[in-house]
Amino acid sequence: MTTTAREPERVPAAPADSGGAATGAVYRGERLVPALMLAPVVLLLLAVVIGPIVFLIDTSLYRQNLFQVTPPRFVGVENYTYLFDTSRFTTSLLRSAVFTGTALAAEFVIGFALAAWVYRLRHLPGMALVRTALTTPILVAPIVAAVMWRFMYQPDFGVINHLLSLVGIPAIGWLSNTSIAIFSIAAIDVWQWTPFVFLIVLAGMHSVPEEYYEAAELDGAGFWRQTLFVTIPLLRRILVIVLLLRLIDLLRAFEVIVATTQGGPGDASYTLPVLIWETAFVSFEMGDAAAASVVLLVLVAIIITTLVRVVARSGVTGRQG
Amino acid sequence: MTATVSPTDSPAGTPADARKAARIAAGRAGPAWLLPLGVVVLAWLFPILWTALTSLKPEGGLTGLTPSFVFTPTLDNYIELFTERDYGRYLLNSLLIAGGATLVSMVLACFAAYALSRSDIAGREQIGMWILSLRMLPPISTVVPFYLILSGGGLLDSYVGLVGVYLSFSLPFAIWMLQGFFAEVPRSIDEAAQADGAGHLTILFRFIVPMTKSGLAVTTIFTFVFAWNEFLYAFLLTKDRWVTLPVRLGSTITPFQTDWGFLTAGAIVSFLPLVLVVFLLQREMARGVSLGAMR
Repeated sequence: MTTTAREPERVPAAPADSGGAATGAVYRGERLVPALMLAPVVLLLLAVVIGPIVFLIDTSLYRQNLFQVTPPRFVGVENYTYLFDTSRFTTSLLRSAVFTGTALAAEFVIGFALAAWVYRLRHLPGMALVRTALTTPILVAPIVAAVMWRFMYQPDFGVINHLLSLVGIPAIGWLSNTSIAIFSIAAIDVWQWTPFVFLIVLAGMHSVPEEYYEAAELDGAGFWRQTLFVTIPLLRRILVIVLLLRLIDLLRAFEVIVATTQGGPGDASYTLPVLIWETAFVSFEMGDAAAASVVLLVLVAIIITTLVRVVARSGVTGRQG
Repeated sequence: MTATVSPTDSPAGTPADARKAARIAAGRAGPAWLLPLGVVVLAWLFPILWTALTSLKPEGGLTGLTPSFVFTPTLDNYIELFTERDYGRYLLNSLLIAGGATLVSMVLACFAAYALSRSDIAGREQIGMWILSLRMLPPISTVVPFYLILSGGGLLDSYVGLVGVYLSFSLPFAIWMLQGFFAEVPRSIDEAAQADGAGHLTILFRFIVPMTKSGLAVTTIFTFVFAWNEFLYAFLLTKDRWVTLPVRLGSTITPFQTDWGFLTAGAIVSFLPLVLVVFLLQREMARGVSLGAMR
């Protein structure tokens, strides 16, 4: 099954096989129905997504405070040049990079390790229970997760410091220490989203024919070699998709920061989304906020495009690899 | 990784056969690994367990200096939630909004994902990438235009307005997930069906959808969860009638005095329906996964 050509129309038809060529022609001809299937979605998405983006870009070119009676004034790219000149913008980029990088790496390493562990134990009872149990953090609303962890992080009556004190570790200011706060927040995201990586990778491992692992086993390949030469190549596509989804979510992570530190202490967790939120809903400078939003959009778009190119080069069809 | 070879695993054959079986069995780690796994899972669930525990504590026991594990449980916080704080309404609002957004998204996404992954209409790759790119939009940057557009159309704090806004993230997500699952169904299935005279709709609903049940279940669950848990849009685009559970919960956090007993009970209420959904669909997911999507 794995050797099935994904895109038959690209496979050069054997010259003698006129039947194959005819099938290809029929296949290519059937375009109306798929186009009709896609059209409503495209139109709907144009309305609910592209409209607001155009509006956003337009807003970013005006000086506009939501609570001032003076009408918006056209200023061109002034909002952008102002943004790039401020040190808090540079800071926010740095904080976003630290937050995203830390959480993404942790989620992938832990998620992959857990999936490999559970996959190896798949013949034992209770694995469905493990899978269901590890699904639960994903189900918690980000705002609720943030609140739960803030409760546990409390310096005086929080349960984490309480448990640490039992083994003699002094109280830690999880959210008040400037060098720890951003990692404490990243830990919340890691707790919540590592299971997502785990679930998808595990499902992917189950979709790999078991004989592959058995064959690797017989060749003397240990766990790490199996991971490197069987799991990762076969699951390349699904892994990149999960990576993409997590990267996006981390770059725009918002509730988890606003409900814990609001970007503080100082500017210790002042990421780009926090900057946008503060500019828009604390200072009400809509033009500046829109400019920062556009920067965030462009930033994410660059990363996405790069990754998508990588996937395309290594074969979008995935499982043939 | 000790090899625990059960009698069924090693058929009494040649020594070579036995060695082969032993090696394969070695790839399946022994039951000794269950215990540490159990510890990891329990530790992972601790925040939820702690929240549940806190929600059952009587008032006054919460801000004490040392967190207690032993106390007389009470449902006072939950009773207060539904009698005095009208939580039933917020629960229903969340259900209607997330359910509506998920239903519309899944139906449209089935068609779109089929067209994107199985047909060769012009520009399908570009359209697919475009839809993927919509998934990355930070809600923080689109909420202002949404607010202005909805208030202009008199749709602020309305069902249609909020579900429409939710489609902006749930639809691209559903399409992207589904087309990944659809793409994994071998193309030979389509060719065989086409040879038998099946049209696109038949291929989609008679072959692809039944073959990707676990993918559909997973996609539906995640689409619903994201809509159910959404905070920012609901917070800024509703006022009273359609206030959802996360918004109600989020607005109870104050920097000075937070009623943790009430808040933790609310958190459990927002979370339990989702656990229920996952448990109901667990069999579907497990079956799909174990069949390895027909490969």
